[in-house]
Amino acid sequence: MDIIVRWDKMGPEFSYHVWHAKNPKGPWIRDNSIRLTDDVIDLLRGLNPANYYGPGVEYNEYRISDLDKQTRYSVKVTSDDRYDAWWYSYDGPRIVSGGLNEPHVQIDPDDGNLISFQFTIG
Amino acid sequence: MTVNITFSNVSGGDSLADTVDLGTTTPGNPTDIQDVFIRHDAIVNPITDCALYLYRYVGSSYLGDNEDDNFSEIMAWGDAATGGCVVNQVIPPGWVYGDQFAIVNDQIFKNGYGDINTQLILDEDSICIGTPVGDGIVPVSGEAHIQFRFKVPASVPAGAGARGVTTVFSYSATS
Repeated sequence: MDIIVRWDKMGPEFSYHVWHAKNPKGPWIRDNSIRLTDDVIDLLRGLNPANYYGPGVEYNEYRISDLDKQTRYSVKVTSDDRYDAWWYSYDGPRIVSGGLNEPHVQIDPDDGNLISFQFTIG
Repeated sequence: MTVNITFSNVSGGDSLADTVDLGTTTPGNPTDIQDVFIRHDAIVNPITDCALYLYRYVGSSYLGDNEDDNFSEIMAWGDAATGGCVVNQVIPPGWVYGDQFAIVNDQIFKNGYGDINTQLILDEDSICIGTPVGDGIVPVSGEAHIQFRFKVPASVPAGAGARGVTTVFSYSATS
């Protein structure tokens, strides 16, 4: 499973949305049951967009790839097309960073907020 | 703490099946109705930004031919106002199990109205347990109750077969 976090505003009004996908090619499903913990939010609030992303960057985005609840992985956090030095490992229901300030993202490994319907036209 | 959502077909129930089977219908007629009760386990703050949107089928027991085609078709039914996926979020007074919500309050998903970019906000009139405090909010220890059904346009050929889509309940939670 991959996770994308995009935020709308930096600073005190920081807000964000989360998508997940079982395949990096999609489909991407908006899933706000995946929440950033406070220390991750504090970390993102502290970033300076101008310095961090550079000019002309359209999206404020983190992408966490190759997440799988069956196996412990090291996964990479990226910002746009750039790779950060932050490495995350998956441990049970949490993604725990081995990097700066040890931020972590808490996830619900189940698609618990989906209802699928099926019917037949006879 | 992760905040978990539980869907059920009765108030306080355990869960819904991965895929809800709404039975067989014929062109020009609706499917069965599905009651959906929604609650969460947050104990400090309510969940907010609650909204619904329709998406391609991502369940595990698909019987149709193409999930993307089904999604496009059902949204197009809504666009044409000839059918589609119906959600009703207004519990009528005196509701008892088996009753259909008043059709005057039906909302039909269509492009630009209930897709991933234009989600339908959960109506505070859907709150069946707890005190409603505004649209998009399910209070602590509260529960919402909505109904789904599908309407198949008369123009669809008889025997067209299985159709499937997924609804997504999005929300924000703090713990």
